[in-house]
Amino acid sequence: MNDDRQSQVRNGRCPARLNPLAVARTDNLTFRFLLHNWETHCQALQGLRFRGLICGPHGSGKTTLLDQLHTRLRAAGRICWRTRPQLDRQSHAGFLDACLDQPAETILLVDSAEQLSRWHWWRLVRETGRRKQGLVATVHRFSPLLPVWVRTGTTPELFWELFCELVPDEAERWQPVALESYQRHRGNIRAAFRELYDRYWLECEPDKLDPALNRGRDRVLTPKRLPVAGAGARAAASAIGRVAAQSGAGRGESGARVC
Amino acid sequence: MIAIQLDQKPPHYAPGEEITGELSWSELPVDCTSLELRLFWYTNGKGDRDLEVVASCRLERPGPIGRQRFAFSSPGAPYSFSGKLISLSWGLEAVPLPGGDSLLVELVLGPSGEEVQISRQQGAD
Repeated sequence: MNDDRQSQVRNGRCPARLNPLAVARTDNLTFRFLLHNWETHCQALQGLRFRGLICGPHGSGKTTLLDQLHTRLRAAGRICWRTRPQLDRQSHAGFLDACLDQPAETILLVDSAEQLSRWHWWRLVRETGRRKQGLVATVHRFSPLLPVWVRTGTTPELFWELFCELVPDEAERWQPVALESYQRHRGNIRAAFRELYDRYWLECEPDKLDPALNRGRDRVLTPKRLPVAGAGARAAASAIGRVAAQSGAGRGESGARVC
Repeated sequence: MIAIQLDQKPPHYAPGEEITGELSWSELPVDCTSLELRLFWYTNGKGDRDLEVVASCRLERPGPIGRQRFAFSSPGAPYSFSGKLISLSWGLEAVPLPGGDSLLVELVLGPSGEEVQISRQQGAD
């Protein structure tokens, strides 16, 4: 093991940033439907006028599906508003108002809708329906107010496929532990991954840690649009101009002006 | 294609030290109107992620090919650190706007230019 690796792995334990089961990596897994594919489900959602439930147990990918639906809808030019009610029930009236303030063509994507009281949920469904807004919400249990768009679920095969994607080089060694964790958590993939994160921290093989693994595949992307630059950014910008002027390399070959 | 070449190798910095280098690009998307370089930190680990852009600089109309020197003054905090539950890392990211593949280069910011290790030592548990 080289010095760099030795500095990263102390006593055979894995730093969080190199843990293949870190949230940055699990969040990047793509949702897999148990039945049919995206095209079929998107057609179904259009048929429902973008009003339906994502229904399934804990750790079955409801939020992942909602986020990926959000990405697809935006890419298709739809106006979406992805939101989540707070646990604090006092805030639910404000949440409802914020949802109803969205333009009529907006598709509301509500994660954990069952945090809402029955009254607020009923009003959300009714009022968004009257405004012709789309509403896709994740819930654990069926609600008679909206049709189910997708029922999420897991299988050992699905879990194993995801695990192999996260830990490609060591999957075989971890197979019994991983599947046992999946069974113990009764199909809750998120809970199984969290447990395996801890196990990996304790039992990783330092030589198998790949610093490039998280870096290459899960680049952290800052938001495309940043808020207005603050003092730090302005200082940095002037610093760039200073260095560029000193080095004489301030202008790009294309003639771009110095910041 | 975008490249960030840092002057310091390895890219480990103490607070207040200048982070200097050169940003170069070619074959940017046709509709690229600007190129933004961002100095930011982010967390990764078992829990929710966090991220803050502490400084940024935008090049308007970068053109299809070009290069630009840059310098940031490294902030005093937070330090790069790593433990069981969370790691905090620093990065420089070049982002073509309005869209396109961005590039991230990782940095280390620490009191002695090293990442702070917060894992318990063997025998301490």
